[in-house]
Amino acid sequence: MNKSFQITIYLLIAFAMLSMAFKLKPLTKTLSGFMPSSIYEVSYNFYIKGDDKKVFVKSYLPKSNHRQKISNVEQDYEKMTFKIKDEKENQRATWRSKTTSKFHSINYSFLFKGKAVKYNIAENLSLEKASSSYANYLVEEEHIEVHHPSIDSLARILTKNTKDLKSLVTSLYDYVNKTPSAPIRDLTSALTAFKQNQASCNGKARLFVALCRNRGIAARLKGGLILEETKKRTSHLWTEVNINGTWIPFDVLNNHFAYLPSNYLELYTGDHFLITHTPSVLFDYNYEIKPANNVPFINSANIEELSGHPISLLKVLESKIIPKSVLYFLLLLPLGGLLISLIKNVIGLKTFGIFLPVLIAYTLTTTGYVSGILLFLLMTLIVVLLSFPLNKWGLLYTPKMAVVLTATIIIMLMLLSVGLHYKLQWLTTITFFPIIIISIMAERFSRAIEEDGHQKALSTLFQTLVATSICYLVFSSVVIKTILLLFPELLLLVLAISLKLGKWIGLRLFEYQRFSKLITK
Amino acid sequence: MRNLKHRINNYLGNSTKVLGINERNVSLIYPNNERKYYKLADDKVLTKTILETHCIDCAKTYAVIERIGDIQAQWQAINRYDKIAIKPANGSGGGGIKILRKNDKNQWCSGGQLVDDEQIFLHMASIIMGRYSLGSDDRVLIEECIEPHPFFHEIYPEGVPDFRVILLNEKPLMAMLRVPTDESDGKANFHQGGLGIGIDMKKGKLQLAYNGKQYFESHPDNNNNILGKRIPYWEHIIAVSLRVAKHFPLQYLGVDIVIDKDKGPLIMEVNVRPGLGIQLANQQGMKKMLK
Repeated sequence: MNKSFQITIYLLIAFAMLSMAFKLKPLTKTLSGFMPSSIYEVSYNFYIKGDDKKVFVKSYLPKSNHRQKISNVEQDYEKMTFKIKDEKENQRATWRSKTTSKFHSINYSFLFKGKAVKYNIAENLSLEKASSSYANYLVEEEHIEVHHPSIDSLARILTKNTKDLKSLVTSLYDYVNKTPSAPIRDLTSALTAFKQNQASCNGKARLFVALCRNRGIAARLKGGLILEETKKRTSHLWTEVNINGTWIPFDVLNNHFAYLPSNYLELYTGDHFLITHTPSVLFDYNYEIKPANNVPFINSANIEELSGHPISLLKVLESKIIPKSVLYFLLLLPLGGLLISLIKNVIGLKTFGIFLPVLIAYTLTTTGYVSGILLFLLMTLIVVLLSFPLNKWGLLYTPKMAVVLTATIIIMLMLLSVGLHYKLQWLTTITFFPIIIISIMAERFSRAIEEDGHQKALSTLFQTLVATSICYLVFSSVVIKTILLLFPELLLLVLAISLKLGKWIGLRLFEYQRFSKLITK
Repeated sequence: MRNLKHRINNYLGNSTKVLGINERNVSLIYPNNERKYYKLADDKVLTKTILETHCIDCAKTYAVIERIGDIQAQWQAINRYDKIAIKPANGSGGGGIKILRKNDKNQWCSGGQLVDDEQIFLHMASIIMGRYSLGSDDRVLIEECIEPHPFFHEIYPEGVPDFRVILLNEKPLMAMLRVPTDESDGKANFHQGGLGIGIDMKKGKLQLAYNGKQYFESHPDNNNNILGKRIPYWEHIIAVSLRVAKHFPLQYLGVDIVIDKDKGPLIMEVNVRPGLGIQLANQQGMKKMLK
């Protein structure tokens, strides 16, 4: 018996190691240090029809930089030519029809991976004029009226008492930021935005650029898309201000000071239209944006060799048969099981329910740790309070559990409504919890109170929370999830370790304390 | 420095003598006790059937009630006794046990309080419905109530103290006596505040008493002497636990024994997973005895 046991363990380990070794080489090719917080598939969809003209469409294409990575570019168009031209900082594409009188549809798609960037602007930077190399970013433009008397006097008033660069920019930023926002679709110039005292993103961004330039600080417009799961037609304009040689982003509309969120797709620099096309023809467009199933650390452009490995989940992920979150959940469950075995059999913590901490810990990764723990305790409390009258009335076990389950769900739905009504988002996440398992656990807790007393029952509940927290720490790590996704063979190692643990006869950590009188004799 | 090294070696050496839960399960319970026989120990009615078949002394069974409908009829027959114990066959940790005695007016009392028939019936019904057995159906065991031997009263005047003998392959490994305290409310378990008293098995004498925190030479509540006290019927107790080990298909087991003032040692319970606190009561690890 013991021989077959040992052989099984060695085989599992050997197989896992071998399979992983074959992955190392292709992995090094695809490894990428860039760790994005937002990953989206973006596609431009253009539809154009010119009755008797040859038509064209021009648009800016995104470029990779330190905070956004563009990959997997694909496009689809018919009977058109396609050219990319570099225009200063930007990259502009032109699609031109070869024939007249035809409906053309253009689809250009790519994968966006983005990081948020936050800058700290040093205090006490001197107010010297920008160097001549930034002259282009100080001039007046058609819609950025840098030297108009109204802009000039506004800029002077706003910066009368500012003595360093940061406070000057802050003062201008605050003014524009406090200008009321309005959903105006039309182009708004800096001056119009000031005069109307309300503006959309483009008017506010221009006003901020004009004010900065007026004070001799290089500033420019940035155009792009705010990515979210939707189909949309609105693009976005924000601002970059050059401070000490670095272009620092500011979004006066959405109140991002020296900060750019991870889901901002940068498309072009300067005061341009994102799309231009042959005038007076039929034209329609939209941007289709979907969150993508992408693996962190992995550059998905050359993933073939890795996903071609016989033991690989990358294909499963690509096929979208199951959502990424479900795949992660499946991969983390065995690891959670192993963790609980370690916590119970090696450390010696007592928990309610064997795998309850695993499930709660996984739920916490979506609800957030603190509010999740509070909600868990709230639900436990609800079941315990329910159990008192039920036990007093002497109900049979199974119907009693049905009552507990039903009542818990009713109360949960009520809390959900309360959360929605008062916009308490944390409260609405209560629905993520595995109700049945919590009900069973909480019922056992209430019985433990009755049988073993408050102190012991609470101590076990506390130990359950400690076990949950340990699992949560492991589950919330992107690195661990990703490693499991790339090396599902690790589950074989989990299996081998769990088998070994099943025969481990050492003293549990808590037993050293329990038997300390015998051990320290 | 040398002292520290000595202490660490001593610590590591001692920790290998103590039997922990993992090793108890992997090395003693799983290979020696087949799961299908667990119920012979877990179910008190089955336990007593085996004991009675082999004429091993245990408390006399007055009735076993399986159906709620039978309660009333069976109770008529019970009413002629003066003292009874009502137990759930599958209860654990003493849950659901009720001791009833008649007072001078021939009324049933429990813990000094009058109880009427309806309360008794309700208690038995809730046993049958599984209140003390995790929801599965259970049986009510009604048996004679033990009168503890005066030896126990010399240590502590209330409750029913019992001996626990742990055996492996029909060889006694360790034994202790469990005695209630003021704190433990009649119960004799460590974690309920009871005392565990180590036993010198060769001499049949009590050793130090342990309450989960410290050791005592006499009972902490009344200062009655414990250390060195001779146990009556000790040879008989060992003999009867050996007979239990012989007739149960379990190789590793704990046998609980009380001494009745008239009948002498009686088997109360058999345990498939006897606890490890007995090592603390005896101030030594159990692994030495396994060799």
